[in-house]
Amino acid sequence: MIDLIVQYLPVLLIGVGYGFIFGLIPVAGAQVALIGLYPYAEHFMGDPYSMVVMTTAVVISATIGDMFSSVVLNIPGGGGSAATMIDGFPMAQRGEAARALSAGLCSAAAQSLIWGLLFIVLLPYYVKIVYLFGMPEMLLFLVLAMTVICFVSNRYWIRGIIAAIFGICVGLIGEVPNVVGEYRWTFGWDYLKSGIEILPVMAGVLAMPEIIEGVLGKTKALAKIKNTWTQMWQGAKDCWKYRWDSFRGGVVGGIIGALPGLGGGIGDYIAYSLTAVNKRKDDKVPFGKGNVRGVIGPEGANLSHKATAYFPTVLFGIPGAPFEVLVLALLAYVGLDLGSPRLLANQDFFTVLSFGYMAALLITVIISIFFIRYAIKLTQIPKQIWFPFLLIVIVWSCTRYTGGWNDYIILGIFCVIGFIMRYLKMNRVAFLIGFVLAAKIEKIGVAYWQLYHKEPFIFFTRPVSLFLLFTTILIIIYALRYKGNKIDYY
Amino acid sequence: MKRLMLMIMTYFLVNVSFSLAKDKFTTIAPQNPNQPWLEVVNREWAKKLDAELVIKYHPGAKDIPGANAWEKEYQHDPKNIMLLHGGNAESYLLDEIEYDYRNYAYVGLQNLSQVVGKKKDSDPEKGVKIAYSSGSNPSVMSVVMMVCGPKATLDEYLKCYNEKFTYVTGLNNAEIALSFARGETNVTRNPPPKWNLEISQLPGAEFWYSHGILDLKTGKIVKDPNYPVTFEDAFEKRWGKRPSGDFYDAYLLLRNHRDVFQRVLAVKKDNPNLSKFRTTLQATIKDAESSKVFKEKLGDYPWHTGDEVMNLFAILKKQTTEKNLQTLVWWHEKAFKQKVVYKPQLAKN
Repeated sequence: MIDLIVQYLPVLLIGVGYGFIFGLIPVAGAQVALIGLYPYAEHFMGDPYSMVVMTTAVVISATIGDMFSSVVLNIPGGGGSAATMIDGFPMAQRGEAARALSAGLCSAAAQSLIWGLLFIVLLPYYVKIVYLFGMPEMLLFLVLAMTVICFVSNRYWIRGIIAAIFGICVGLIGEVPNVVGEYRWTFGWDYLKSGIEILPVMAGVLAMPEIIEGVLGKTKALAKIKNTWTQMWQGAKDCWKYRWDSFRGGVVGGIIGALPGLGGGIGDYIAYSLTAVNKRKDDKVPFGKGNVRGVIGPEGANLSHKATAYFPTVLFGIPGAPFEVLVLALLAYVGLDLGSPRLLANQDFFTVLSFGYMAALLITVIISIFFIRYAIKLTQIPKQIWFPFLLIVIVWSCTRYTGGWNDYIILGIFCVIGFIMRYLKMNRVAFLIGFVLAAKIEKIGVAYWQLYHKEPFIFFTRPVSLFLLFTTILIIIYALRYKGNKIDYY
Repeated sequence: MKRLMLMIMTYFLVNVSFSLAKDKFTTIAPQNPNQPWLEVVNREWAKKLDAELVIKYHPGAKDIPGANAWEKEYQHDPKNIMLLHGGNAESYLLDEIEYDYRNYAYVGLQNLSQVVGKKKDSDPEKGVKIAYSSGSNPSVMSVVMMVCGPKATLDEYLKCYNEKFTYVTGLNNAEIALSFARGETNVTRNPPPKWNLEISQLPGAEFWYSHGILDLKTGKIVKDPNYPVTFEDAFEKRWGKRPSGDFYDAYLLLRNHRDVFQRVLAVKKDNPNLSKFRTTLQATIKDAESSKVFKEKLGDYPWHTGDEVMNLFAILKKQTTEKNLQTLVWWHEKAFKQKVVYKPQLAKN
């Protein structure tokens, strides 16, 4: 172990520092950070395992860095902590940014540790589990995810369904898959041919209405920060107190990460919804208004998803999430072919991977603890300066795609949509989930139809399908019968 | 702590200055990251080139957007090298595109094959489920012949295809591999490095046949030394005679374009770095250590550099007849339900 520390400490520290900075930058995140490693990949060829340590450190630190951006700036770094914004930012406005960050950090770190260890323990059993999930199960899993978002935590489920369908339609704008030169719903606007980027949609619908209201003076002034260390201790205690919210989030993220093809981006929202629906007697603050459980739940999903996404990547060489495509390519570049029997039999690889994961987690947590006190200072800038500053940062972040007026128009359109949805009390998260999953739903739906349309009862003949189907039905029945445990909208 | 920080900073600065001191070239790939061939070749080639070789990915439907962007934009930078894929060659015959193979100078290519695999426990003659991806069409045409046997007319092939084939669209490479591993599809096709490094390791995966290699001298398909059972051999073993006829001729045209140009490194015709690229790639191929890596990871396939590539063009030109093009268009529209264009000019020029 000491040998590993001596050998890889510089790489670990560089990886953690580099990834953390990318996590903090709006729009960036783990994927962008990994892309930035390509020009330096050849320097790792002398010791390919150093690339394993580097990529792992970047993924973990960038994911935790994302959370800072969500809580303090109300912008998800790389999209991984989007659900954390919903309660994290209101907590920051209340002067409790340190508590939110500490609670989120503890939740993410705890679940990361649990699922990281489970990754090592469950690796031999994973193959059997993943083969139980074919196209019918994938499709039903997506339906289950949509059901949770639309029905479980929100009072207005019909509006939720409408919002989700609207989100799917928006997500399908652009090039028709595999058909060159054929575009869908672009209304003659060339900019839409490549589809709509996620950040302007997320920022416009979820963040901008709150920020604009802040600029216009409709939100309360930012509260003074109470003692930082006390808050951080409180955040850690919150995480322990609401450990089952964290664990539930971890389970959701862990399952989604382990199922190749589902991708990230939905785990934190599902975890948030499941947390919000489990009301407790001691919930003093409503969800959406700065309830610390709304931070703990999704953050539990955030890193556990990253941990289990390594399952399919390492075993089959099949990326479990978009960022894993880049990990796979970087490791292939230095000569480590994930999924190959030779690598699977290589104990050194697994030792370095486990070491890199755990060490990076530890270092990131330590850095984050010290960084919290500086990050929260941002929230103490006077409201008259802070909200316009946030507005500028968000607009800047969302207009990096072409840098032209089209980016501004798209952001403007989604701001208007966000305001209208808020006014109509439509489920904005359902809209976002529909948007994020649109391509996936189309792809899996089409593949399912092509493979199984001659077997209409396939769902009833496969145990996992049957389980998912009944779970979905039970959730709908539960949601329609018990309306008390729901929040108005978000 | 200060010493540690100093150490890290020094390490970082040394690396950065080392990188800045070197030349930097970019290979553009028309697909998503995780391209074993390019990653392996770049790594070895960079040593002889004594430069950084970074990869820029420009993915898009049928690999066309990346190649179109090469034609319009990337080729004008002398530091850019394009990796044209087999899918690009297929589209060259059948799609509306903006790039043209005749406009570029070639650094080199590896004359590759395709590996068709199946699930051990499945009988494709009872039904084939195979996933579409860019460049998969020629392999599927070969599977049609293998499963349906010798047929006199195209309509007979179409009838058999409609009865026995499910061509699953829209999946990415990872999903294609996984659906094969799960047994949702029972036949798969892959470039040799991908088959060798990934797909053959999946449970139940079994080699069926390979496309073989186009011989530069004779213009005929010869055995692939890595996977000696060619489609023609497998067909003869199953049906008692070699494949022939219009459908087979059209398949050969598509297969040869797709496989010969499966991995081509091209630059702009007047690129000042062309000779440097060629000589260093030739040196890399000859280098004992690199050659060993190529054989192990990419398979033992012939390389052609520089003007040799133009000889391959001449062979392919002979096969490009109006009849073959018409057959391909008919088949893609009727069977694969794909929108393609008939390009008679390719047979004339």
